[in-house]
Parts: sequence; structure tokens; C-alpha cells
Amino acid sequence: MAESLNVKPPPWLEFLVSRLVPPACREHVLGDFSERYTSPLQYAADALRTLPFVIAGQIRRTSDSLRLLMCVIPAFVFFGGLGRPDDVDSVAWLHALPPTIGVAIAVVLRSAYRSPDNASSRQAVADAAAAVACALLSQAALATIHPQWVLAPLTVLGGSVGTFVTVFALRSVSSGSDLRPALATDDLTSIDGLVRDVRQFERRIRERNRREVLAGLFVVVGFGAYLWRGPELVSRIGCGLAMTGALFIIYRIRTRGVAHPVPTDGALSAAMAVYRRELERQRDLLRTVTWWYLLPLLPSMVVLTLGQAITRSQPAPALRGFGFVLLIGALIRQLNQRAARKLQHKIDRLTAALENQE
Amino acid sequence: MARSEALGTFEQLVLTAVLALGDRAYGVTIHARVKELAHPRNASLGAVYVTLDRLEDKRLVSSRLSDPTPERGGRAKRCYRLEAAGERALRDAALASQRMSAALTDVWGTKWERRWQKV
Repeated sequence: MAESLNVKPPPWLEFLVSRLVPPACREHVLGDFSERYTSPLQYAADALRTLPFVIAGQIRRTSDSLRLLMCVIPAFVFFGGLGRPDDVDSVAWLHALPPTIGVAIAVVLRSAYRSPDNASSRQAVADAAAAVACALLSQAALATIHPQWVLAPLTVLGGSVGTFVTVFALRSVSSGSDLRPALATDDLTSIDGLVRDVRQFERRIRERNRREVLAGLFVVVGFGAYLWRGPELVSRIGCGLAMTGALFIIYRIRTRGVAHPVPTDGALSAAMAVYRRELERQRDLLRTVTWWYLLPLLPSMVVLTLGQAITRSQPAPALRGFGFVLLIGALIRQLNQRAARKLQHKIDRLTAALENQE
Repeated sequence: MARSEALGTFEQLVLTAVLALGDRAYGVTIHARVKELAHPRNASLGAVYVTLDRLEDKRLVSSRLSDPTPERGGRAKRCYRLEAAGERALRDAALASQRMSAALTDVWGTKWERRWQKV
């Protein structure tokens, strides 16, 4: 290994390889390659043999099937997977598959190549742009291979805009919540570690509440406008129910979801006990998401589906849309249950630390 | 006694290497030691990385980045350490191997190890 002190890989080769290594493992993998370096050919061969494992490992670590589905299912719908309301027998779902697969590939790869230190909204924009680019690429490829399968320009435009907004929103929410498990770093038994964790927790809760309130207001304003100019009574009742549901969710978030400050200037055990209570409150909120978040919106969905079916005298498209909404609801529930389990894990650790102190 | 995580053969080799290397356990050294242990089978650096990631996810090992060193082009090492759960899992695997070895000795006789090594 001593000879490698004087021999270094050519900068251009190292740069090329560094672009292919996911940022989360770039530092140590490139260091290991440099340490083993004997010649440019050996370096390239080493990289070619090792990189597939490194990339696959990073994809395994960062892939989240629930979040992937949350991106892919809306993309499928936006690219016309449910078909046009007046076109029941079409194979629209088959035509929507290539751009949806493109979006899935982009989301998986962007997750693997996401920088662990830079979880900004700019990254979320890049993720969304990559998803749309991959969807468009699939259309370009289809145009040369099988032009009959290319979607109509308006569907492509609608799908691209819808996918961009969905992926951007989801990636903004989930930024920085992946990668290596922090085994030694999130030390909750020291005051510094606890303060760091509490601040991060409070910031996340504040951001979530702000986001949910904004989304709720958006629903109220949007359905309010539709209610004002709504075509028939049933749909107008559905809009009213949606607005009521959204207002209830806002009320619940503002009353039960607020993060109470944890006093970190006193005794460590007192701060740990208060923090544990806060975590338990948030865990319970996540566990009961079906009752206060999903069910309040369900009556409006049922009535709106009914309204659509009556207006078009064609129940199939409205039922497909309803099924899609139910699926998204189930995914939201799963995501929240998983988040509750993560909080429970932290609560258990705090409980064990408190018992040790006693 | 708490049940330990079941380990694959390659995972056992990697954990053994991490334990044996102590503070010097990082990608290159672990790979070199695993190659020695796996002889005559080959072990790639990529397979070692993937296994280390999996062991870290199972919380059997933990890792931290060291300070950058010049022989690595100014880049840091990711140093690995065996966690208590990893040590337990490795101990159980070693005991199972020992029992298997004893059972094989009953069938093949006491010289089987030397005979097979020649082959």
C-alpha cells in the first residue's frame, strides 16, 4: 500500500468514476479505489466491477416502495391510465405504462443519487424534473419504435405537469429522511444530542403543520369555488362535505398536532420525560390518521362520485376515480403507520434511557 | 438468552474480518481479510460493500467516517465496528459451525479436515 502514496489515478478518470458513485458513499468508495490504485486500467476495471454493487446497494437502501407508489400511481392517472370519462373500453392503461415506468426509474435513481447533506427544495425540483424528463424520453423512444402508442400532446402535457407537482410535493416532504441508520450519532442520553433531536423534531412538526394547513385551505378555496358555480345539487353537497372535512383536519392539526416546546435548559431527565410525552402525542396522532384525516374526507368522495355518475349516466369512470382515491388513502395510512412505528422506536429508547438514569 | 440474527456464510466472513481488524476495519482491509478467509473462493470489493451495508441496516455493525488521509487522495475511510448484536450473532454462528464440525468428525473421522484441505 506504501507505493500508492506516489501513484494517483488520473484526475479525469477519477472525476468520471466519481460521477457514477452515489454521493452518500462517494467519499469512502473513491478513497478505497485510490488506495488500491496501481494503473489507470486497473482503476477502471476496479470501478467497473464494484460500481454495480455500490449502486444496487444504494438503491436497496434508499428505495421506499410506499413513497414510490405515491409518485407512480398519480403519474399513471395523470398520463391517462384511467382512460377518458367517455371512453370505457379503451386500453388507456397500457398507453400510460411507458411514461409511468419512466417516472418510476427516475424516482428510484434520484433517490439513490440524492446527496445526504443537501436536502433542499432545489433537489425536489431536480427530482420532479428528472421524473418528467424520463416520462418524455419514454415517449420519444416510443415515437421511433411504436408511434401508435405515443400519447396525445395534451395528455403528455397534463401528465407532465401533474407528475411534476406530485413528485415535487412528495420529495419536499420526504427530503433527508433516508440513508444510513444513525446508530451512534442520534445520542438521546446527552443534553447536546437531545437538544439537537428536539430542535429537529420541532422543526419537522412545524413544517408538517404548515403544509397540512395550506393544503386544507387550498381544498376549502378550490371546492368553495366549485360549490359556488357547481352544476348540480349532489356535486354541490359533495363540495360542501369536502370543505367541512378539510376544515376539521385543519382544526385537528391546530389543536392536537402542535409541537409543545421541550425545556432543554433544566435537568436532562426532565427534558427527556417531556420529550417522550411529546413523541407519544405525535405517535397517537399518526396512528389515528384514519379517523381524523381520511374518514372526514370520505363522505365527500362518495357524494362526488355519485354526482359524477349521475351527470354522465356512466358509473365506470367515476368508480375508477373513486378506487384511485381509496388507494391513495390506503398509502397515506400506511406511511403514517410507519412513521408512528419509527416514533415508537425512539420512545422505547428514551424509556430505556430514563430507566437507566433512575 | 436473546435470539441473535441468522447470518449467511458471507456475512459471517465479513463480521469475522471486522472483528479481527478492530480499529483498522474499513473497505480495503476488510476486503483483503475476507479474501483470505474465503480462500479458495474469490470475494469482490462490491460484494463486501453490499454486505457491510446490509449488516449496518441490521445494526450488527456501525460505521463512521475517519479523517481524510493523503494515500487515499485526501479522502476519508468508512471505519466499521462490531456492535453487541453482531458479536452475539457471530458467536452463535461459530458455535453452530463447531457443532457441525463435530458431527462431520463423527462420520468422516478425525482427519477429514486435513484430507479435504489437500483436495
